Amino acid sequence: MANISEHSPHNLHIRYANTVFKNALNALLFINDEGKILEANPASCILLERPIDEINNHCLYDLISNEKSKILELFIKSFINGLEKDFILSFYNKKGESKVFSISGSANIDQQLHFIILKDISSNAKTETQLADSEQRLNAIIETGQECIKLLGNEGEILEINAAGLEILEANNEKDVIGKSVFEVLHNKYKDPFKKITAEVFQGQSGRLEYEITGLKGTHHWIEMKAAPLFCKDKKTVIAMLSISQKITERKKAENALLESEKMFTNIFEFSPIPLLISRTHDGKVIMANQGIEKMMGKSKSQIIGEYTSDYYARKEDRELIISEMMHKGEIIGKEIDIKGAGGQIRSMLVSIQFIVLHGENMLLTAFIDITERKQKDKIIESTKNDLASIVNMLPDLLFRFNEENKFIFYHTNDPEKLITSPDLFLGKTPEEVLPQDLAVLVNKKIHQTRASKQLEIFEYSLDHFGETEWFECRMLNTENKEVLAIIRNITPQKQGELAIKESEYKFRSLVKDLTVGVFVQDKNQKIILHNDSALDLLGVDESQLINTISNTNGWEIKHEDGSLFRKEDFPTNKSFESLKPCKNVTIGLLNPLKKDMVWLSVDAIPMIDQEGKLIHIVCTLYDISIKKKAEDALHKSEDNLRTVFQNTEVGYILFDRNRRILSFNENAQLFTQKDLHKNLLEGAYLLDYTAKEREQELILITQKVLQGESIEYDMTIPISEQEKKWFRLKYSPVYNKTQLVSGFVLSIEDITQRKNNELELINSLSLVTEQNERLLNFSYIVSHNLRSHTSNIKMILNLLEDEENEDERKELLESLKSVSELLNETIYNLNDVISIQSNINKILEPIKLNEYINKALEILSKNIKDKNVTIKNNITKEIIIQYNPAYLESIILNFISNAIKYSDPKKEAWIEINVYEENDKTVLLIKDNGIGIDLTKNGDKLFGMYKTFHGNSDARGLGLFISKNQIESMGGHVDVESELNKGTSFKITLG
Amino acid sequence: MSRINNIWIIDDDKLYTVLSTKIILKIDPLIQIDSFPQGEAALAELNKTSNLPDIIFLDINMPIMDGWEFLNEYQNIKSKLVKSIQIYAVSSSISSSDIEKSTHYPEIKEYLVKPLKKEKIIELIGNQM
Repeated sequence: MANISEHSPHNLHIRYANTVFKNALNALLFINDEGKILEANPASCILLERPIDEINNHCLYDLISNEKSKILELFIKSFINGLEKDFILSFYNKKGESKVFSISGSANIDQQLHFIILKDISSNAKTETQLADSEQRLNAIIETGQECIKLLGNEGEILEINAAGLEILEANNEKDVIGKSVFEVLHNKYKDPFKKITAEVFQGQSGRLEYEITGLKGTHHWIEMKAAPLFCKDKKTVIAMLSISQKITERKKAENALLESEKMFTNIFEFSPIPLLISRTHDGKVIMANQGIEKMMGKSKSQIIGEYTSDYYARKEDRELIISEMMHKGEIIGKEIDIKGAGGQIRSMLVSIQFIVLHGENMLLTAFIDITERKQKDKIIESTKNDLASIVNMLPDLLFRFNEENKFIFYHTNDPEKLITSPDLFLGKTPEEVLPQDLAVLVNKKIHQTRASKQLEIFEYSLDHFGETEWFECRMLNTENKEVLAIIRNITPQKQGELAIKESEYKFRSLVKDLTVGVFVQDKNQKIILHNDSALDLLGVDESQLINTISNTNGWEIKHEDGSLFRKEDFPTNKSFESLKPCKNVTIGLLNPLKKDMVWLSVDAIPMIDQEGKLIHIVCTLYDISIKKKAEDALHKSEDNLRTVFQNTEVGYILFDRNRRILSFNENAQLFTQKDLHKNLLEGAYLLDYTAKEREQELILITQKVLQGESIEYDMTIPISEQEKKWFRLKYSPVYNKTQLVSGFVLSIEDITQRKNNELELINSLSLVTEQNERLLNFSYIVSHNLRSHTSNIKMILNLLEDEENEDERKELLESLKSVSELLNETIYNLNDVISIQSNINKILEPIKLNEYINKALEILSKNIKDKNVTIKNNITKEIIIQYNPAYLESIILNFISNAIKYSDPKKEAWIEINVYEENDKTVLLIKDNGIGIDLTKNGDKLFGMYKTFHGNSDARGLGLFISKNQIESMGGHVDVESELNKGTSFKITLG
Repeated sequence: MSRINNIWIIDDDKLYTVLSTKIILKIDPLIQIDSFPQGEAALAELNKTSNLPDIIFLDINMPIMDGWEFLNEYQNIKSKLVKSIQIYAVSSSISSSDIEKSTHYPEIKEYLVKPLKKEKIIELIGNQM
């Protein structure tokens, strides 16, 4: 029972709870209503920083810092009462460290028993606080607005940046810039000022700086930055530089443009040979004077500047006159006025005056010409007029002045045609009365802004003028007397250029994306100012080699398709530069030094022309056609090769499509067909048109297989004449298209007659050699066997003779010896015959009456014929004459007939039949019998082989046939045997 | 070894037959010798007679039925024979192909090259007088 209780669920639960209690990381406490700790787990010692005996039976409230014990008591009480479930207590421990405990648990688990969990969350809390701090800081920064806000370290490294900042730097995300230095984008000349301001900020000062950067994507910006220190908590240490900046690019551009034109004006003004001075409209104070004035007045510039023009008039009334005329006409050309010149001397001057705006103020530009001598008056007037005009032309196209009520009160133009309406229609009127509504609203708004800001306001607007959109730039200036001056320049050409550039830029950028197309842009001096990576890649150069280079042919060996070198002036950009016309689809090849390979490019050069027909840019696109070109070259090459093969080979080729229709063929194919089929090959004709009816089905099958990808090859003969035939090897091979499908087939026809003949000859000569060898082998065998059988007998006789004492026996043995020696002699004689056949090259041929020879043989064999009772049927007529070697023929006839007699069947009425006939132009002698026959399967091989003679028989069977066979074959004939046991044998002797 | 009483010589060479017979009789005049000029006659005799030979000297090269053919036929009737016969192939052929061929016939006790020597015959019949 003990075991069971130990494993009861209740016991297990307790054991589990105990394990948790002992091993928990948090302090687990059981307390009573008064906060007295009844039991604490080991972790409590760590959290409460005291030994267990100082915890158990102590009050929890006393174990935490004194100043917080009351609060803890309150917390725990409300917890026990079910008001709080968990809470946080922060306090300083004995060591003065900040501690944060989270307190939770279960109240009233038993009577007066509560379970408390203490969790040390100090470290979490710390991180959280830090996080909150930095978040707050960040939010504060980001909330500041649209401006670029950066936190920079003392080396200019970016610590934090807002979205507007990323935009200015042209970064995609923070990762691209955080940790990097702003110096990377800052233009060199601002690096020192930036360093200076950074240093100042880190010393606690604030500052302001205007500088230029080039964004990560290459855009140039003017930036105005306010920098302030960011202090750490102690309010002393600067931890970062807070940089608040904004783009002032547009403003800066306008300012620079103005400066530029004013600078240019100043230069012209200064160096003009005519005395010129500029004075303020409203008081006549001299602002500028040139060298001519110095001479005229006999004073230095510094003296003159600051004087009032009113003092120069010899007569006061002249001034009134001039002012009045200026107010009415807007200019004075060549008015004769007396001026107090150098040393107070009165000089007679021609004066021309124009309104100009300089440094945002209304001015009068006055030119003087001394005509005291009164010479060349008219000419001088004309020339000053021109000079003035040219100087004034440096200044804006239009000038308007608005009064307090925003009415046009004054205009100036150096070209009246630039006015859209006549002055009468707008002078004294407000913009809304004169201008299109949108523009009027804009102008009024800008006038208002100008007055409010007292700063230069620049804006652009467009007007439809005779159906064409004209662009203007307007700079508005606030003048002293609440008037607003509008300086207007026609910027249509620039704008159009800009738009064109924008468009081309857009194109350029879209092209840039397409990696296979290289693009570069040349400016009007043919300097390459823009390019994409593909261009570098295709030309095999790096950026430094390409950008700013004047000539795009420098250093590159550029070739035409035919391999000849490009003349510099033929290069598309150069051509386009000269003609101002697009030059497209020019194929060039250049040796790419990176790829170390010929790169073939299709080049387009497109000039961008402004309205006046002047070149702005040349956009050059490079399209890599190397692969195409190489493929083409390879194709041409292989086509050439193929054609060469096709035409020059001994083989005839006919190309068919899938429908077995002829696509093309070479000369040989035509020749074969004409010569041997007596037909003409025609493109578009069908294979079956050239096929004999009986072969159609076969050819359809063959070509079906070929169209399924098989290659089929076979030899065929075409009879040329009765004796001659031609051998052709035909091969059908499938032709695959690009997609690996069979698109047709090629039939190759090769005349192999010669080869075939050679082959046959070879086979013939081979069989001849084999035959000879066999004969020789047989011969040596016969020699060995036949001679040995005699010699062994001789040996035996001699052995017997040695032992024999009986005289009769000895005589008998000697008799045997004599007959053996005779046989030996005969054998040697026969063998000699064989040798003579083999070596007899010059066989004498004679006309032989066949019948005579047969009768001769029958006569020799008459005794045997009689003995065996054989009937001879000689069917050979007397007339038959053959060309043969007589000795051989005699031997042949004798051997075969005697053989037939020898093997006649005694059980039958034996007969031998002799016939002769022609077969394949050859004479065949047929000797047929009804004898015992030969089992050819068993004995065929020994029929003409190595048999020794039958002793005691005059006919030498075996060797006889062997000799005959050799004789027949040496004359170019052969022997065939047909035989059946017990039925008979027939020897078919083809004499050859 | 039982006494050799009866020897057959199958050979188309009559002189050889006569000479061998003489030699054998010189060794043992009691031996009965029968000779056959061709295989067929010997084969017919084997089927017929009860007086079977102890030894056969078989020529290999014979017309019509040669030694090999005889042996082929002999293999067919061997089991019917009441006596085991020692067959010696005898030939004037020293061709290695013939010698090699003879090893395929278990009936052939030995391949003897002509001429037959007296000493060899003595050894074979093993009962020299």
